[in-house]
Amino acid sequence: MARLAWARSHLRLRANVVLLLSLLALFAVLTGGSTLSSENLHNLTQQIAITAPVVLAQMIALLIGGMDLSVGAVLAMSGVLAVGLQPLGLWPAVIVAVLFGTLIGAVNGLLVTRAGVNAFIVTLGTMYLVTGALLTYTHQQPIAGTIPAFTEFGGGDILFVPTPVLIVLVISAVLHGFLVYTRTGRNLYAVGGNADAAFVTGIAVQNHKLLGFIIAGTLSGIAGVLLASSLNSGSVQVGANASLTSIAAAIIGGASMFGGRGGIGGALIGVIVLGVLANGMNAVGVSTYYQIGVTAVILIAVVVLDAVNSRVVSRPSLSNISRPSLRRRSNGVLVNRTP
Amino acid sequence: MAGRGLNDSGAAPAGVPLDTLGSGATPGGATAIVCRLGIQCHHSGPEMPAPLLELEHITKTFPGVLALDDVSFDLNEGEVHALVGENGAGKSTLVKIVSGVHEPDSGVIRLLGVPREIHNPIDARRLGISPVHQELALEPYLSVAENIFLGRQPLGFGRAIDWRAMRREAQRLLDELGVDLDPEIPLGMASVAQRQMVAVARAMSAEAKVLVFDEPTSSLTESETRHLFGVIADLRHRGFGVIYISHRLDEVKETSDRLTVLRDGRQIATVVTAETELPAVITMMIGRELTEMYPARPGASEVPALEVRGLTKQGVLADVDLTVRKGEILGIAGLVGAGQAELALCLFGALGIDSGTILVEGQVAHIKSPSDAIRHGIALIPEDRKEQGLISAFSVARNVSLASLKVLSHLGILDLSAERRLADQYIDRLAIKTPRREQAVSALSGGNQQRVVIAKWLATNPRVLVVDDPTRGIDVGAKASIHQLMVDLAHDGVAVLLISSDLPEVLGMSDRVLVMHRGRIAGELAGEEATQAAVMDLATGQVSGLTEEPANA
Amino acid sequence: MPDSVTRALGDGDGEGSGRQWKVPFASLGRGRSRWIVVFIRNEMPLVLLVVLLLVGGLLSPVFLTPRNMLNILWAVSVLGIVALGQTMLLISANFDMSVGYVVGLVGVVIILTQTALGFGLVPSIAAGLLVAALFGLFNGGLVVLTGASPFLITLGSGTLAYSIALALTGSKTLYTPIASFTALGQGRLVDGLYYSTAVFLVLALALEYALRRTTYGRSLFVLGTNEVAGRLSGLLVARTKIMTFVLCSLFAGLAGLMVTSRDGSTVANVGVGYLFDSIIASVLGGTSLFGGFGGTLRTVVGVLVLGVLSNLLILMDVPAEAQAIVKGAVFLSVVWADGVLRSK
Repeated sequence: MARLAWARSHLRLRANVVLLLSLLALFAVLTGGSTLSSENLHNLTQQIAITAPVVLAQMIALLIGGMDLSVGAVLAMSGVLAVGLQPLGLWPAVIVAVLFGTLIGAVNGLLVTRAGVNAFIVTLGTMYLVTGALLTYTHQQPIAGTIPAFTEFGGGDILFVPTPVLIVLVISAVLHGFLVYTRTGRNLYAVGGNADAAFVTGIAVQNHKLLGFIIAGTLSGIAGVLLASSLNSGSVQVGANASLTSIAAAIIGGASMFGGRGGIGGALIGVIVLGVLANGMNAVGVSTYYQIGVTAVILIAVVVLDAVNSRVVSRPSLSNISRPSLRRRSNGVLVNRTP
Repeated sequence: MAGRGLNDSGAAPAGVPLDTLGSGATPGGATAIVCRLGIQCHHSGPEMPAPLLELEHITKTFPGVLALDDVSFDLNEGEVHALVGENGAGKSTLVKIVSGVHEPDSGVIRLLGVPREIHNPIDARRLGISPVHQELALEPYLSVAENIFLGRQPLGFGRAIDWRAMRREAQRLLDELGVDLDPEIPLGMASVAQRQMVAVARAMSAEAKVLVFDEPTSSLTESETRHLFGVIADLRHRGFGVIYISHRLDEVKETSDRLTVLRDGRQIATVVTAETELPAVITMMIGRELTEMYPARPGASEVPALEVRGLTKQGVLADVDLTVRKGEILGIAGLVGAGQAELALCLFGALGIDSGTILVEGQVAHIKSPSDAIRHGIALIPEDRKEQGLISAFSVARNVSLASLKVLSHLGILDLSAERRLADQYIDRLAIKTPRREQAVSALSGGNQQRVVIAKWLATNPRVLVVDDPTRGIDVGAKASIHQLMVDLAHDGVAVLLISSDLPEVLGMSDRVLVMHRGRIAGELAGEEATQAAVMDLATGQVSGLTEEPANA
Repeated sequence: MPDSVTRALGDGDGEGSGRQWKVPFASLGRGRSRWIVVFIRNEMPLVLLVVLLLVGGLLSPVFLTPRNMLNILWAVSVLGIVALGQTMLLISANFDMSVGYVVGLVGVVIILTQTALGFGLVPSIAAGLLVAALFGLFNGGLVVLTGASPFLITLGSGTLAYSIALALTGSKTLYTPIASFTALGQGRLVDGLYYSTAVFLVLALALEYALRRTTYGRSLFVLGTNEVAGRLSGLLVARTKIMTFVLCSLFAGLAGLMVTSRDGSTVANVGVGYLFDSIIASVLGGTSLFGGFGGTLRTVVGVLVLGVLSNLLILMDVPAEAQAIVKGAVFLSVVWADGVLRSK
């Protein structure tokens, strides 16, 4: 039954913290303590804060039983919009940038809920579409920011703490409150955990899934603004690997391919773990090529573990053939088989 | 059937008051019934409440099958009304109509006297109808407390969910129900019995009025069952209405106030439980003489076709021994969940076993997958013919050839004309009614679909044929022809293992009957001693001498 | 009410099945007037191709010339080979997200074994294809053993392939030392018909034959429609799945060979565009993303549609980047239609 899965998820939290501390220690040793310098810690936390919203987005997409591969593309495009539209004013540009994410989230959600298509495929398509739009808009050239105040979001500090960290903490608190203390938030868990149960309870499953995708898209938009702000430019190069790393981080943080699991705290831990790893690898001098490989291996490992873990619960599976009480249930967003 | 002289229509002997509610019970009439039954009336006095739930003249057809024919059913507050009948009698259809899964073709549903439309499960729940048995409605990853309050979590300060209050309230409900369960743990961690209690707690907190239990005790231990009965009695006392469906007539006798017998979609009788004897109920359920329905069986040879020694699967089957001879039909009976379906899957290699040996025609067979089983000449017609036995989107021809692809091909290349000929051969031999062999099987009737499944397996020339509930949901005429088919197969030397929850079918078709109980073979019956009562005794574990631990407690 | 809820609440009592799948040409013969409507609906890809060709013909006089047609065919041949492998997987209800990166990695391996290890032509090609097969084995094995999502497993393995390719090339272009190598990719069978095109078409035909006439092909459709019933009928599900993953990766490897020999050089990210295009080509051709329906000849049509579309967009002076938008939009609409038509 779920006994093992539950025990494992609690262990997972502790394991993550242990992992985190070990990584910090490892890299500190390998670099003779320079990774623990205040400068590095500043950069580290800044980087983590900038990549966090994307992981939160992915966590929510996974929560409702879906997935969002378009996060990277939206991230890049939002950043470009935030910079490119600055002639219209700082805040209009930022708001449009974030709303772009919301828009794509809505597109994703509508295609998944109204057409019943796989979230993977849909977000793959929107990723492609947005990337195309991005390339067209920028003609493959980065755009430089024109308003100095823009860099405050991602690059500024408030009392020695990088501004993005504070922004992300506020966002996380709001999301956490939403997910834990509102019925709508809890419904997201219900929809992802067992869509049929949610349905017969009277929860509007499709609308909640749509909401999930919209939130995810918006968060990706926010991430794009933060990133562009820290670089003070909108570039097409960023975000290429974001889908992959965000999925890995979210699952490390407790989310599951099969939906219904995860939380803000866990997701933050996941992004911190991967962030420390990336930071450490950079400090040690590991080439980016290998870094990509490491992330890929981590993703595979994490996905395999998630799959094996979820088998322990009496999840709907095609091998539960005989017992009358264990009929097949479909998750709604994902097809009956995990694609 | 020993004893009573009963006529064909299955009417019980005189002396048992029959409530035939088919004639539109008026509130006045309902009043009379409530009092006549002697149930504790909550509102004594001239103002009698309308029945909690009334179903009048409900008719429901599915393609090819008349599931419910003018059935009426009513439920009062503070009453436990049981529904009994064999498989296919219409019990589950009736319950599905009540819970909103199906809509009746005709008839009226009334709650507390007011006609209501129930289009889907949400409507049913809103009207206070709460099916307790559905795994469907539970969130394994959310806590027990949250499952109880799903969608209705208590709100506290600033409209935020008050987790503490939810936990307290959940704990209170669980305590009231006498369940020892931590409301914080994920529901997936709870046992089946506990999950049932959670569903009851949910119904109670949601102010449901009608609770529906469908075979609730099939996975419960003795003590859990007793606990459940206590809870049901308590629910009764509080004025809930309970619909209780079960094959276990002894339980029905113990817990229900009234019971309704369905047979072939028709309402046979509604009686007061206390005033009715079980044998009478059984007869009403079956309503026909055994010997007429089933074809005469040829004698079986002495040569064993399939032998099973010590088959064990942790938590499911324990030490199962059996032998099926060539030309013999061995029946496997038992309550739902006793392990018959699992036994079939294990024999077929679809489910792994922990220990035990299988011998086919004297040779040890290592069966680790269905293809191994097929190679050894074992075929399985599964319980769920639509999802497991057939590929609905495929044509008749492609389904018939599905298990014989290797034979129909040379070096991996299919001989399509051979496939067509095979299909034609079996369409003819089994009288499969289909306009073309390319017709998608999803369009065929249940009986014809089953024939296609049988054809598929006959094409493999099996030595042992395991059938699980072959005539479930099939109309009477088709049933008879499938029975004849099985007998013909036995005549040809095939060993048939017949698993069925349709008692008369098992008794009528089999040379011998093995009865399973909680994963073990409880006993073997043959000839004269193979009676319904004997089977039920063994199936419910009431025969003394069964001192071992059940396999699936 | 969701199909799943009805099913989950139990069948019993002989009710009819809920889902109705479209069987191609099944409604033919049921009334001549509807014949044309049904045909168009079922064979939408072909209709689309014809429409696009006509539009092209209207836009430019040189569009419908044999030379131009063969050029288009040549341009899409490499993609086509990748798409063929993807189609086979899609029919069995799986995906391979690693194809793009495997294309690149195989090219890298081929040239690197030539330069660094002094392999000859054949050994280097063998090494490349072996690497592709290994990736397929890895993908299929993990999916079968763990039940994890093919999407994510192949996403991971693809990225891993990319990482290896990047590390091996240092982001530089590698050039083949063997002059005759380019003969394969640039060579022509007949005037206008390149080897790669011939390979593509031959493979498409061979696979189509396999799909319709072999037990393997039949198994793929079974897997994509109802895996459980297939298993319970004795089909060797795990073996078939792994084989198909290997096949798909091998085809990606073959494409890598083709493109490397065409250019005489390779870079790590040469195949990045093929992933998306292979899926969109399959879907445009009518192969269902839900599994159980499709074909490789259909994919030929799909690939041609993509090629013609690109050609058209170039004719209309649409910049390359904007083409991605068009393709993406087309993809999403086709996917939407597929979802609405094939599964409720």
